[in-house]
Amino acid sequence: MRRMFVFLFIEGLLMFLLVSCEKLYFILLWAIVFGLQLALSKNKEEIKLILVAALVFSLSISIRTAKIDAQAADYRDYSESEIFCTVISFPKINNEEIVVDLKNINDKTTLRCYLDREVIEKIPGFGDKILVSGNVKKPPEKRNPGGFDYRLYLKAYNIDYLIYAEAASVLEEQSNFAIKSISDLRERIIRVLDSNLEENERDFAKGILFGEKNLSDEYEDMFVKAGISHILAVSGLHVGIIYSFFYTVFTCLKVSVKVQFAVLSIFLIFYSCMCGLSVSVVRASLMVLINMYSRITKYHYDPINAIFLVGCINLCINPYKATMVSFLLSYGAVFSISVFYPLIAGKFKIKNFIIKNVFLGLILTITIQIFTYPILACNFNGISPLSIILNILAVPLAGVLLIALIIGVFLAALAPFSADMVFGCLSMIIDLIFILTKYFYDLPFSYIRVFSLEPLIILMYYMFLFYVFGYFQFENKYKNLMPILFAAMFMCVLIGNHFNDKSLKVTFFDVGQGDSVLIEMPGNIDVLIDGGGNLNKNVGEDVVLKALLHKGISDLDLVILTHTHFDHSKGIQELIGNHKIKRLVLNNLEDEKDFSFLEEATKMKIDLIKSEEGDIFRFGKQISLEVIYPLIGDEYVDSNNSSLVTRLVYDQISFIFTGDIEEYGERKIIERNNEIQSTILKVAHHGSDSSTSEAFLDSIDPKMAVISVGENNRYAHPADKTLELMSNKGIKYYRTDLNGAVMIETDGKKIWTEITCEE
Amino acid sequence: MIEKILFIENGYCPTCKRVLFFTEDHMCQKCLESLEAIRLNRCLKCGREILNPGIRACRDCISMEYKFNRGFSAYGYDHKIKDIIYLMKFGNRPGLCRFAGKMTYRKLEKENRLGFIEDKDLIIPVPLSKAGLNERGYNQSELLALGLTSQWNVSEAANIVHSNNLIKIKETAHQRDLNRRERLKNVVGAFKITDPEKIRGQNILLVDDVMTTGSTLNECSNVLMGAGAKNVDILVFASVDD
Ligand SMILES: [Zn+2]
Ligand SMILES: [Zn+2]
Repeated sequence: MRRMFVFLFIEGLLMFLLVSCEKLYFILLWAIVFGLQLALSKNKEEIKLILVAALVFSLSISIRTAKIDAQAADYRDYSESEIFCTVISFPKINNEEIVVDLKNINDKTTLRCYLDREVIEKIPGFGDKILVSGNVKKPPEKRNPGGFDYRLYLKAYNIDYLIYAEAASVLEEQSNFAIKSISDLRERIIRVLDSNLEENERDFAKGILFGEKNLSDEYEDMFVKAGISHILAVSGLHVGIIYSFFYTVFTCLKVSVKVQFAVLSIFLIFYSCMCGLSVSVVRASLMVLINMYSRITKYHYDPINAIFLVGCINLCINPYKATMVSFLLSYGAVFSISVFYPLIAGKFKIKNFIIKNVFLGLILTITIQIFTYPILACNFNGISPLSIILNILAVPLAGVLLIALIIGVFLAALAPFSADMVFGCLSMIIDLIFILTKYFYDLPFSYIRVFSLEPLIILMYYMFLFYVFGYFQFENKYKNLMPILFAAMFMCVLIGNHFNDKSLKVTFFDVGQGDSVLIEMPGNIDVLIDGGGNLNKNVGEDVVLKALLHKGISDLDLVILTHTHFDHSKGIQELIGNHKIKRLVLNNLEDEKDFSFLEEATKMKIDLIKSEEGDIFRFGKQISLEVIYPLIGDEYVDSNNSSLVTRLVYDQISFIFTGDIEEYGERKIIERNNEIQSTILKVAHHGSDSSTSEAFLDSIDPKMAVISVGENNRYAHPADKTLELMSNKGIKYYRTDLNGAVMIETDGKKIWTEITCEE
Repeated sequence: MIEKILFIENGYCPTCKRVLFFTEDHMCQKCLESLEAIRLNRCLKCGREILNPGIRACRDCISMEYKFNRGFSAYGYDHKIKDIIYLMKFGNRPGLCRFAGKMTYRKLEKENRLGFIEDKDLIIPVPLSKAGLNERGYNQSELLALGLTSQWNVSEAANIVHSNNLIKIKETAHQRDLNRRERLKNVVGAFKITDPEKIRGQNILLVDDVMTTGSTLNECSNVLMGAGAKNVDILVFASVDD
């Protein structure tokens, strides 16, 4: 019975994982946790209660999960018709775009709608009924190792599809008085901010007040990397500040606790609604209310129980919320504050008020930072060590700002003449936060890229953390239990790595239109062929570097750049300086001047190798990577036909990577009559019809092929001709535009293929 | 019901501030064990610890004639125990008071002194005044006594604790603000017996949470002896070292 909600939460979470991942071992884990809970119960009545509560809760979570899954999976084609919807979120307004969530009135499916400002006359408000038509899509899944799963993310918001509206009109406005007044007030506050503050300041103020992330990319990046973006998501911090503000005011006015509770609960419900009921604001508000309730009733408030009760409520609302980073960070932060902070803070007795508070603040942020490290590492692959100091400076400022904003907005509404002065002060505080953040952002080591952690390592990390802080330190016969457990887990990791290390893994990333292939060899040797590249996006950083960090690859032994076209080279350019590269291989036909990043590469002490037919890179006894094109003595004709073509051999399995060569190059390779037969072919030039001639395909004679190509690219790659040719020859092929990243693993004899998504 | 599950009294260990996850105890295992250091040199009369190893009775016991016979004190009044006593008195922690009773019982068991409480006819907790009880909601000494007897056989334990016979009729100033002499004077006439019949000829155990100068315990013993008790022994959870 004790810690009932801890057990319920874990059981619910395991049930959710069982249903959503369809992995049966979660039921086993569930049974273990459930058994433990029963074992800890004291009498029959408790057992009865636990049986009912655990089963009902777990069952309802699994049903809820299955329902959300089914709704998201059941795609209907709306593209032709107009959809009649209710608006179920506050509109998020960027410069030229409005984003709102909609609920289809007929079939109850939900859509996130992207509206051009020009498409709609009146900005739709919460609860309005609107008619939209446009391109309806399923949200994209995860497409690369370590990539972001937008579909999963939207499931946490109960959103099934995306719609890019071509036409939209508001038919009917919200008539419910309560909702109308909240949404009107919100609009009015935003208008006050808009008219009184400058662009970046106003976006920041909106973030602080409503948790609306609307900052320009540059500022967003600055706040994320400086490690204080949490002050922009309405969090426990905000609710805490509001609570202390109310508390101080109430205490001065000598208001009774019951009245305090009533006023604060109304305010917090109101405020949570205005913030769009985000995970963290709901969590924090409920916890504050539970705390106040315990003060009225003279019960003992217990933060651990409160966290997990609120967590259970959150799971009931939508189990997918548990997959959100904001959920993990918000709950992780309060959990670490409740479990570790009092323990550490209790050890120090400092008299001086200021020193004491600064010191406690430091301990607080360090505690949170240590506890949330695995979450940050796995989701962002980066941490901000200096944020520990920045937090102590910026968090109190943000607190002052929040209170000042609330007062300022009211003042501006009541006494418009005072608005100038109030907002003058406000913009000064905001600028101060900007300056501070910028300063820390510019310091060296303000942002460090880190690797993702494997689940077993994460488990060890947390067990060790608890152990170090004096939990599970048994004095009696179990004294050695924990050290033995650590040793056993460590062995598991080592053995797992050892067996994993026998295989060769080739990953064809989905970099959109472009090429990028990662080869992971036994002995932690990693080779990258091309890095993709997009003029509008940083695929080198967002896809390739992210995947490297996700896989824990610290340096690349060899990077092969087939040719200089940007869809192969820009990604490499982004990698240089951000990731350690030992050797960089270029073709010897293209002009030095075409490699725009040579200077940077030399500065980073990367060995540059100009290569042609006959060069062989050997990795261990069994693996070799041979350059088979350009041929010795070839003349430059064009960039594509200068591509380095390489053949990777591991025992009986071979891969051929063809870059962007066209028929011209293929013919020369065939004429040269080297051994080029390969098990797996990377189809040349994204499957264009100018490449992959029948003769070339015949001489390679692959079992399988991979086409690296972007969705809806303007070159109409891959060509139907190429696809037909491969189908006719019975070659199984994968496409990165349809399958996401394609992973091929081999032990030198057999091959296993895995794709990231299926469409 | 949800309140019972949500709000628990013993979420944290009161001394080290670690979260108590699954134990029903009010202290973590580590802290409990750290309190178990055996105390060797105790005052033969009142049971408090004497720091000077050559002496067998504490200064108070030598200088003033206590009205009780013998005493047992489970713990010294050090930092950890101080935290617990504070919470027992001012932290709205009835469960902790009972737990302190259990700790005292375990201590007696460990030192093979169970005979000290087993031959008693009555257990009487040092009372609070009516106002004090209203403010606190419980009498920590009474709960301590109940916690102590909860480790016994049920039928015996049920009626042995008498908390309504000895009552406090006068509001006294806080003992901690006074010096030795003032303390003695402060409690004179503060206690009264309502039913002397039940006291007459009985072997009584007087229970309190903490003993500093022993003046409260002495005054209670005085009243009890005056009502005709055969013998009064005292038992305290913690006492200040001599
Ligand atoms: Zn402890
Ligand atoms: Zn003595």
